[in-house]
Amino acid sequence: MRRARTGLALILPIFWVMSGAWIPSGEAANGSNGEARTPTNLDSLMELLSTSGGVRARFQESRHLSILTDPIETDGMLYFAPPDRLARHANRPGRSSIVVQAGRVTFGDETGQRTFDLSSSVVARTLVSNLMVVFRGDLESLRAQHLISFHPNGGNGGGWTLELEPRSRIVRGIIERVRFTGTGRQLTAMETHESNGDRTILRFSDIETGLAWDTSELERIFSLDPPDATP
Amino acid sequence: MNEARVRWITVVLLTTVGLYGASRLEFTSSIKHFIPSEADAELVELSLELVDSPLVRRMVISVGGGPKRGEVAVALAESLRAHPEVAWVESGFDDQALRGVYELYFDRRMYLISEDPTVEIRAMLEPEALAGRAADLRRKLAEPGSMLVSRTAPEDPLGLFERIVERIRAAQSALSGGAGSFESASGEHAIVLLGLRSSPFDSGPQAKLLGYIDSEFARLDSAAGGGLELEMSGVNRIAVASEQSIRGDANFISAVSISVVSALFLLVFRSLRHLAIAILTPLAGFAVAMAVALSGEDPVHGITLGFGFVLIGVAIDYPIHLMNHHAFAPAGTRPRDTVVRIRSSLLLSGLTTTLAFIALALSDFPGLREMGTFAAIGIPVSLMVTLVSIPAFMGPSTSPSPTQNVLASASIGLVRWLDAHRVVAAAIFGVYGMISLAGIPQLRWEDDPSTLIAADPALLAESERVRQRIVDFDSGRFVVGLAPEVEAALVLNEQIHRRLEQATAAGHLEGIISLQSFLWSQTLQRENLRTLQSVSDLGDRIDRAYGASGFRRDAFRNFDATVAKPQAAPLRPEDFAGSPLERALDSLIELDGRWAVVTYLRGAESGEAIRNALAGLDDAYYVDQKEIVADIYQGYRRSTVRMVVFGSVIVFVVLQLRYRNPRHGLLAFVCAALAALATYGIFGLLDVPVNVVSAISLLVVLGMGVDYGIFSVDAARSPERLGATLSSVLVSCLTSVFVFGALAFSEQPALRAIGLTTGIGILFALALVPAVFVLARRT
Repeated sequence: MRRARTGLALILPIFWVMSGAWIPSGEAANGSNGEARTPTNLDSLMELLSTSGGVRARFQESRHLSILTDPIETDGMLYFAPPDRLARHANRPGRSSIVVQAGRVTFGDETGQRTFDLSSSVVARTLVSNLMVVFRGDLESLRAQHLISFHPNGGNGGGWTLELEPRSRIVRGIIERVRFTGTGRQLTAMETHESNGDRTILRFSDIETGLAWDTSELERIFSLDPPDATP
Repeated sequence: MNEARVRWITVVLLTTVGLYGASRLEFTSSIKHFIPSEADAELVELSLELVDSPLVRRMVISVGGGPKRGEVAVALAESLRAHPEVAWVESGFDDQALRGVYELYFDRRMYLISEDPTVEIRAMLEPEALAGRAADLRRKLAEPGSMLVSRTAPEDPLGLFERIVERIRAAQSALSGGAGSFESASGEHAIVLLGLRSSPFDSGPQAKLLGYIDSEFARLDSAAGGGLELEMSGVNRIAVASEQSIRGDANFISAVSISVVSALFLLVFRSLRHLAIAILTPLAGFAVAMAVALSGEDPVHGITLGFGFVLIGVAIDYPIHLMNHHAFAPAGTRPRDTVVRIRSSLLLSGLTTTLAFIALALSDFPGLREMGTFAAIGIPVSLMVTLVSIPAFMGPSTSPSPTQNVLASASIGLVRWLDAHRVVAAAIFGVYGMISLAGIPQLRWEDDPSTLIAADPALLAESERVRQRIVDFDSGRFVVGLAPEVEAALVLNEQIHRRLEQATAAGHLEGIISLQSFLWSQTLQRENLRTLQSVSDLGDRIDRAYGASGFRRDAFRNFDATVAKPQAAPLRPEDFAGSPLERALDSLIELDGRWAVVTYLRGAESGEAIRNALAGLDDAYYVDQKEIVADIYQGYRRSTVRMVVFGSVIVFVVLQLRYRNPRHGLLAFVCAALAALATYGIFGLLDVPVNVVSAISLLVVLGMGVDYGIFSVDAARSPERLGATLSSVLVSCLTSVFVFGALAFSEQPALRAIGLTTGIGILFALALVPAVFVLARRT
């Protein structure tokens, strides 16, 4: 079992994409889309997410690793364009980018760039498609791949928690669970718990939803030459 | 035995033998067929083995033209996996493959650190180096690939597995991939690699496989919306196309031959019945020779089949002579009486031609041997059919046709004129001599065997395009290390790898693809581990260096324990069985009890540079198949020419024994000898390149030329046969020239060479016949 789990770590860059992929699936943090509604159940949450449109958000990531005394902090910008484009551009501690589009994942940093075709990796394809599924509010597909727990925190200002547990044994060997917390249409944090005890916390701010970009903007955003980090 | 029974027996036997041959008909277009089988040079043996090795049993499939190329390529690969002709398919590193790589190497990472462990491992463990590695690890943990690194770092703080993965990735840099399908270097094409179960020259299964690939791709492309482009590279494609070309040529040549010969028979004998009877002779020779050739396990070469058609031109001469002489015989003569009259001439001509081809059958070339044997069986069979069976199909003589009379009269007139102008007769010999003397020194020999078989330029261009999409090795050029055991071979391969890396650094090579990227000798692996274990404070050093970069102390203690007691034995060749890297072991080949490790080269500057790089390394060889095979061909071309000379001497001796008159023997022989020499003289003057097939074809010229000489001398000894003999020679010559003329239009260079050499040679021989007769009659 250990072998299988660690072997799959070879494709973990894709998982990393997945982890960032959930970020924009929440709602506008600072009200660019006006009044927030409080989802009372999973269906209503997914319905809200399905209307997110183009998303831009600032993220802060803390990676808590068992081999480190202190967490690693990363921040940058994240972009989503429906139905299947995602870009994650980090500025700190070093510049790096991941772009997902047309079934391919490209990432680059100061050491170079690499591209993956998702068609040959069931795990990567599943995880990345999950992202697209959430963006589209495709509850049926989400249920096919995860056990889902939705907890409306009615007494806490309309907050909610969404917990996903991968159905796939192989995926579960890497990611134990993913926990989203939000308020109304706001996704405030995502916590990824890995099977080896490491965890990653993403916090979001300055979120804008309902964005639409023209062709040249899309090309610029979803490339390894990231746009200005300031939203 | 009555004639009706002879006819029936002939027809039944011919049908039976023909059906047997047809039922077993299988032929090949392998270039290996033209490589000597008993060469004792080590490199030649090696080269021969590698001609049909996994190096050649491989195809590269490229799918381009749209975003769905990757999906279609993977689906095509999946479909091909189930095909009986496909031994293996690789289309990318999927989850299972990646897991396989991990399982193969991770627990063995401390065996595969450095090729120079005592220097490099110690340098890696210096405080400054460890501090640098710790900072690097910290940086990587913040990068997109951090989940990979964080998973492996506790057990591999030095990044040893990462080094192995990078080494493998560099060896496969042709195919950018990672977690997806294989891609071309440009990223514009999806790539599928597949291995063949059968030889790529085995055209039957290869044609089926290629057809299956085309149909499957068409189906998948259509399902994906269309617009994708399939291109392929593989020796099997060239081989199948060559076979189709040979088939096409065979059909063309036989159609032309049959049409022209039919027309000629109608013109001369005023009857197609004569043609139907005469054609029995070469058909019988062809069928029996074919049946014998196909009775073994190996398929017949396509070139041999083409050469077999040459027999039609040679063997049909015998019934032509018989029928023509029979036509000039007194009315009512029985065919068997005509046979008795010319039997000695026919037997002698058949014997000399057979002897000439027996010389060819002694060749070390499997291909030449096959041709020689084919003819050496076919000719006597044809002669026997002429003497025994054909008379049973003929009726009593009546009278010559008007054409036969015209030909005989014209021939007699020409001879009489020459007899009156002997200077002209002598001048003909002089002209032949001058052509020979002037042209032969200018002959241009072409010894590249690949020029014998034509390949479709469009196919070659496509193959090259596909090869360029991956960073493939140079075809036919590699370095081989030979050793009695696997371990010794791997040790030698390490030395070869080091030398070639140096050559690459010096710019003599663009790169190499070596087994060294995947597997090291047990000796080197254990040395790596020993060196790592010899660092007594390994754990403390790592803790100190990594602690300064924010890593927890004792985070890497598992690594320390694993080094002290590895969880796996060193990597062995057998460990690759069933792994995703199993194909890497294709370059480790068992050859007659020894082990060869092949290193593929990319962009080798020159053979000399590689040989210099390997200088002093025993049992390490630079192999350039083209160069080696060209050397072989040069040797065998010379050998073939010697055989032609040897065959000529035998024929000359037989003629002397037969005629017991030196002048007659010489005249019967000179017709063939001068025709052969003048043919090569013309080639030299016209700058037509000649090759080993041209040399073999001289035997045909020699055999048929001697026939003409024999008939001419015999006619001179029996002047009443002059008209019949000369017209027979003319008709048989025209028949042969038309048959060989068709060969000269073949797309296959080998068949073209046969056609040109024999066609021109026989015409030259014919032109000498009247002069030979005149000079023979004077004695």
